[in-house]
Amino acid sequence: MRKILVVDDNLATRELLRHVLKASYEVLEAGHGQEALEKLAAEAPDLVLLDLEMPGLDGFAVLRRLREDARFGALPVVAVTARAMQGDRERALAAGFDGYITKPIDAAALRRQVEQMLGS
Amino acid sequence: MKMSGDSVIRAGFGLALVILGAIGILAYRSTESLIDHANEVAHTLEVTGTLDDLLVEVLEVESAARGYVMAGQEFLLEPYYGAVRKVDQTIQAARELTADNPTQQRLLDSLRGVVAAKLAFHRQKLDLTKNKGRQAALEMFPPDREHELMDKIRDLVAEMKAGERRLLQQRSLEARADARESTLTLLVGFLLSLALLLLVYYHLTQQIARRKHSEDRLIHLNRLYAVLTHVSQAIVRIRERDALFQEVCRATVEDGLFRMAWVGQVNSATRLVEPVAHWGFEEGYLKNIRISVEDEPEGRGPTGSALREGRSFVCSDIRSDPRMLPWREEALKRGYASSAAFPIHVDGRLIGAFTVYASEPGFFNEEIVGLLDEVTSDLAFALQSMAQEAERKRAELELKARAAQQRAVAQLGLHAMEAKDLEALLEETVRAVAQVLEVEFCKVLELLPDGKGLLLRAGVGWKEGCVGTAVVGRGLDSQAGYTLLSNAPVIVEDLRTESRFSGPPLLHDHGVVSGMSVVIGGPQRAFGVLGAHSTRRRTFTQDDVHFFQAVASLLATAVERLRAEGEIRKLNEELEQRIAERTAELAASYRELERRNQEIERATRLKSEFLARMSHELRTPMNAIVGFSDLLAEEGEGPLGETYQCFVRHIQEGARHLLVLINDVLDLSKIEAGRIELCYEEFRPAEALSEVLSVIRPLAEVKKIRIDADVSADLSGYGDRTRFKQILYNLLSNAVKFTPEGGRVWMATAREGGWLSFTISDTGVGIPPEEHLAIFNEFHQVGTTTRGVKEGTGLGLAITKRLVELHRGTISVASEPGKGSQFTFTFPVDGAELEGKAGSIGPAEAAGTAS
Repeated sequence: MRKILVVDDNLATRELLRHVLKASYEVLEAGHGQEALEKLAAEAPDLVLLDLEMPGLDGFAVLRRLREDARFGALPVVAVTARAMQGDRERALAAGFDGYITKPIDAAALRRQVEQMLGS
Repeated sequence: MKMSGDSVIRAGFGLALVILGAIGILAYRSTESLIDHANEVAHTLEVTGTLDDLLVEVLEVESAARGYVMAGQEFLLEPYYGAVRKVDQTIQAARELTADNPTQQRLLDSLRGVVAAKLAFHRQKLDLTKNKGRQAALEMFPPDREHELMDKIRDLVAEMKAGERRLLQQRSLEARADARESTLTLLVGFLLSLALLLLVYYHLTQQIARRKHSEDRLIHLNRLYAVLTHVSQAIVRIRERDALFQEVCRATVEDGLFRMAWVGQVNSATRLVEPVAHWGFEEGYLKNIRISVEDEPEGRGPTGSALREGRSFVCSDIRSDPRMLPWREEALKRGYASSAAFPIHVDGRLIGAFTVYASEPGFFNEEIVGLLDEVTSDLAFALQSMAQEAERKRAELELKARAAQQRAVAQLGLHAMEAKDLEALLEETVRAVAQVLEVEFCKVLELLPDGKGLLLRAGVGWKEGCVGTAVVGRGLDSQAGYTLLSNAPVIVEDLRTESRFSGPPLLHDHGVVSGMSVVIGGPQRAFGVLGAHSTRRRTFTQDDVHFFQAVASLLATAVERLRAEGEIRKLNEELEQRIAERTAELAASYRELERRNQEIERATRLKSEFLARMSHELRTPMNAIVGFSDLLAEEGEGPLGETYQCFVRHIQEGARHLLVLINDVLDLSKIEAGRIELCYEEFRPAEALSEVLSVIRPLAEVKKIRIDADVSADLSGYGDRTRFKQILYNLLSNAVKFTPEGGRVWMATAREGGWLSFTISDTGVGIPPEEHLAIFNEFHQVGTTTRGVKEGTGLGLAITKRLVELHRGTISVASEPGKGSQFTFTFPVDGAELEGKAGSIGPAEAAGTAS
């Protein structure tokens, strides 16, 4: 079963995403950036759903660290954010995210996008 | 017909020659006849001699014959024969001598016969003697016979001789008569030729005298031509009037051999002629005489007449001309015998006369007068050209003076405009004026504050200590005072004869003669007087006055300006004070404004931040609500009861409504804050519509509403495609929302110029007219009670209107309650309508171009 790492400082969001995806994927969770990097190194997930606004290391910083590691150069990372202002999506894609999903998430749409990215 | 001297001489001389010739011939002929006569006398003598010889020979024959007879000696016959031969010869000679005289020939014939008889007698006697002897002979030939023959011979000879003598006598008479006639003729001829020669001589002397006279005249004319030449040269050489007069007089006297020549001019005051130049033997003549140009005894001489009548006058003989009486004695004393005067015209004006004296009477004939006329007109011409030259020079000087004045005015004007120091300007002015007008004195007098006098404020030429201290009166006791009173330029030609004001001591002290003065400043605000003065007599021209006035006016302007500047400076200081205060106030206001601006900026920033925050902060809980309610609805963790299913649907609907509200508020805020960025592109409205319809149709199908919306596939629009879809979505979803079940919604499209017009119609509840404008306001909703439909956010139409207007289009509504609604909006076809104006145009402006 593919592993998806959900990184979000909000417990409810982590829970929601786990429930949306648990039927098809093994869902790993991280409550902040540092933890995310640790989980990433330990579990080697197939996809990361990464919140952008987090205390400490934010989504962009996590992505930057992650991409510095050769093992995760091609790892699909999708931004999941409440940022819905104009330009936010473009900024995220430009920074190296492979997808951009705004909150509140549409469960079906999320599943579709994940499936598409993992090619399963 | 009158014969000329030459013809008379020729005729007289010819006649005299003829007469002399005739006399010669006559004398020749007289001589010839005398010679003839002498010859005739000689002839007569020869004839008588021959006859005498014949007689002698005959007697010889007789005596020889007789001797022989007597003596009978043969030798005695010798003479006889000789005599006989001679008798024949003699008769022959006589015949030849008298060949032209038939009478004598006849007598000679008779004589020859008698002689022959005689000779025959004697021969016979001799022969007898020889033969018969003497006695016989004596008897035979008696002596009587002998004597008889002899007598006959003698008679005949005597007759012949008498005939010759008669002839001679007659010829002598003829010769004498001839001689008398000849003598008479000679005498007459001589006298005649003498008379003719005398006549010729007379004429010759006349002729010679005439020749001499014309030679003299020619010499004189030549000399006058020399005068003319000399004068012509002098005219070229001498450019000064009196020197030229002098030279003309000199040339006339020296070259023309006149006694004296002079040029006089009329003194217009005395009407007397005054000499300006003379040459020759004058010896005080011109000083001693008085010549007038009036018609009076002393004005009737050649000079006076010439000057009065404007033409040349000649006095041929001073001794006898009665007009010369006033000057005769003086003139004759100096050897003036005749005179001529020539008027000098310059520019048609009579300026003087040229008078010439000759030492012989009648000297001024027509030719000489003509030449002297020419000399005079040459002189006049020269004077005219001199006058023109002088006029040209004067004009040139005038021009130079004018230029200098203009330069000075320009220079002073410049300084007058910018001078800060009046003292320096006045100094410069008086120096410049004195220099330009060429006067020794120039001054600026300033009216004293008490108005009682004028102070010599600045000046040049004045004695030391005058400037700054000298004060002149302001009444009629000074030129300046008079100038102030008359308020006009005052020109004084000669201060000594000035009567308009009494002599100002300042000017008199400096020996001023001429001057002018003008007021500086107007009559009401006179600053003082500007004056220029000269010790030379001087006529100021109108131009000088203008220059002077210009300078005075410059000074007045400068004075006025400096006064005004003083006031302005004061005002400026006040103004500066006020400006400083005002500036401080403004600075405070500005600071306040800046502070407010900063506040506004901060508020805006805060608002944006708030919006972003709210978006984020609301979305996170919304995420949980929406997400978990969806999960509940999916019943993935186990089935829900019907009631819970209903609750979950309510949560879902409420959450979605809230989400739309959040999105709309965010959208509107972004639009109002100008933070919305449109992404312009060309797109197919048909495609955009179908995307929108794919969302709308499921909603419509729920309410069984039919949607008829079709847009031509090749129609293109230009703008933000997403926003276009938002506009369509808002209008179509509104239409569906407010249309009851089974109703109908349709959309029509039209193109008008650069605009596409979309009309969305429905069979909905409609909107009352009074609300047609209000519906586009935020949070406005048509009365909910009448609509009976789900509530919207109240922001949809407000956002739609703003989005349309951001594309410079318009949106309008036509509706009546119960009769459905029609929303029409316009959208650009291409970039032409939006060029350079994207997102920055207000609705009002856009309405104008899009409706």
